[in-house]
Amino acid sequence: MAMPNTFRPFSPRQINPRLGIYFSIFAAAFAGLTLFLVILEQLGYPDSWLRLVMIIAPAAFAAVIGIASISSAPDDYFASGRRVPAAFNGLIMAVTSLGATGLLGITGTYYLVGADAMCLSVGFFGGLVLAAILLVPYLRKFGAYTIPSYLSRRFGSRLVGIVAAVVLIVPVFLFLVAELRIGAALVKSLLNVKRGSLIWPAAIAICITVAPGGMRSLTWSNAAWSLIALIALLIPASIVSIVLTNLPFAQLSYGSLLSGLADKELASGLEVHRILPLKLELPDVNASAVSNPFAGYFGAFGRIGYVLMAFCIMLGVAAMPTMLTRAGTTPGVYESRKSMAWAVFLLGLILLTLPAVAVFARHLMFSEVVGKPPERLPEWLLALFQSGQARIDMQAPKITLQTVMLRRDSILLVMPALAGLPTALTYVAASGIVAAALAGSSARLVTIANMLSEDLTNANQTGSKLSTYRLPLARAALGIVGGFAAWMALQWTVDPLRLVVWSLSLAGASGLPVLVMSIWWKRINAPGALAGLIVGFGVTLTCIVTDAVLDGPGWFGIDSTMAAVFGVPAGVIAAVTVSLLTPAPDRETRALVRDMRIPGGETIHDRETRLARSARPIH
Amino acid sequence: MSTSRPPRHHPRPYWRNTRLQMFVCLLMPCVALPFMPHIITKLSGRTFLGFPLGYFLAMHGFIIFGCFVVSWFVRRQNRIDRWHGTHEEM
Repeated sequence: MAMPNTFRPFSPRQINPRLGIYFSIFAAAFAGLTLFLVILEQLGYPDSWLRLVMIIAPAAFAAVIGIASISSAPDDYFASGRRVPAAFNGLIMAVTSLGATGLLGITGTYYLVGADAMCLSVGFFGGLVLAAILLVPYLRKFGAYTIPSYLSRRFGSRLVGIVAAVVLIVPVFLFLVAELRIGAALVKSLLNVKRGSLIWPAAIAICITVAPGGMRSLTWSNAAWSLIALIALLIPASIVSIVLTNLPFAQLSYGSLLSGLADKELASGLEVHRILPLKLELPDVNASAVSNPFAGYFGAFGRIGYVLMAFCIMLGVAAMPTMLTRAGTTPGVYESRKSMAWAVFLLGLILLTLPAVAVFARHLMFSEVVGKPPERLPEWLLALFQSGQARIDMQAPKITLQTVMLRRDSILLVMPALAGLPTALTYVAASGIVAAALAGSSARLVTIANMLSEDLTNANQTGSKLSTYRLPLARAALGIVGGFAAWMALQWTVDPLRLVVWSLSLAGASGLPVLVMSIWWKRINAPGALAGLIVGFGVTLTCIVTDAVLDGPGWFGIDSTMAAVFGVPAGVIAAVTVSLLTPAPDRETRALVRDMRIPGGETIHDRETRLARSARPIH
Repeated sequence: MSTSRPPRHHPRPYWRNTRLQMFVCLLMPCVALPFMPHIITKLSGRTFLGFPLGYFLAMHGFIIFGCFVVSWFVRRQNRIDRWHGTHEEM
């Protein structure tokens, strides 16, 4: 049907109809840049220039999009104007919930310990499913700008909001530090920066990108970065898949390599060890040896450890405030559900690609490296040895899979070189990781800064003295958090993957019980919520800290990366017991919950803001 | 949609439907997860598309099933909203 040729005034909730075209052009430009660089490389242009262009140009272009999305209305700054289409929102959620740490860490873990790393994939994926069904549609109906603001209004207590902000900032901050560390380390090694670190420039660049428009800048720069991350993951994986199996779908084609791989692993002496069912130790960040055949199930992670780890990650991903605040940016409840379906689909696609990359890497190691005399090793591998990214056991009589040790976080980048593809494709993969790191860290930076400025001050209350400085305050918080995170990332040399898993345990234990009950159980009240937040967080943090300080086997033999195993039940029990022992919530709160459960009608937060504004006397 | 009815202002049956929908959607993934190690080892002998069947079910199966559950949830929940007249005005 032809559109009637009538003028329609711009409505604030209207989705920009040209978004798809803009981002298609962006994706095409990225693909074009890749092809152009492959051609330039073949023509003999200097490698250092290609590297610089491929890593900096796409990231910088997306940053420009962020800066151009400058906005000054609170609705735009904190909720991106609530007009982000479902598909874009889903794409951003899928990429930022993993971040660069997830992409590199999970691929590396698949490479080093084999199929047992599936528990990480299953956890991340299950987390989004859980959030899609339990939390996101209801949080969208409420429409609060931050999770602590929602809790504070839902329980009618500012104290709950303040405690929630303090408790939830910690896990998001740990994830932010991990992302900054992994992104800066990657760029540093690729650009051959000898001294100093790139953490400060990265943090400043992120702050400049998101400060002009807050959530709006974040949304559109992240959409571009996430698109790069997705394309840059799928292109090299598909090309290698075609080279090795003649099929372009890496996610399904690597099955045909598995039986051959198992034979080679057996011949090289890789065996499945019998381990305790609770044992689960994530591989170290330093270059380490392959320890388990790919299909050697439960030879690296124990059976119970596998299930517990999957649950811990699942609960943490579902409660991550970064992802939940994104729910508020969609135009409506139905759109928010749809955006979760997109997120689940795209995350599934990414997670199915990662083990394929690891299997390709193992397969190619056998055909390109194993059994070769040391003087005939490929050049890129010698370069890795020189830069400390990989090690080789010189004592061993011959080169096997176990004697060539690669860094866990370098597998994704090594794979194109292993397959003998042009170096430009390594840079494509690198630009994707850099984009994922930028997206992951900027999303977390904005979440923390908004929690700080909105929930720890009273700037969000209409009529308060600070309310005129609401946006400058939020922007100042961005700078402070960015600076502090950069400083911490420099000081704290912990393995990023470990930081992420800890962060998810903390988020799951402190946030999830209260968030789920605040929607699904009307009886929970403010004291119960306080108890749930504090006990869940306290137990998990104690578990992690005692394990880190004592360096022991963890509580009951469970590693501290699975601390949520103790934290979540403790939080649930505390919240339920204290709620039942204290008076039930009043009629107004129950009405609020009832309203929140129904998709129809105005967004609760917007209605309350509108009423507060109209009630204010005009000076 | 044909199932749309005039608004009725009784949220209770709406919530009962929604809650049931939530339980049904979350039941399978949550039950499947603890049995995953068992499935992976028991079915590792057979192959499908070259993958050991247990691995394929746990990895691809879980993800495909999850995508299916969420998209089914989106459609079902939208129908529930319309049936009870609690949907958004588009």
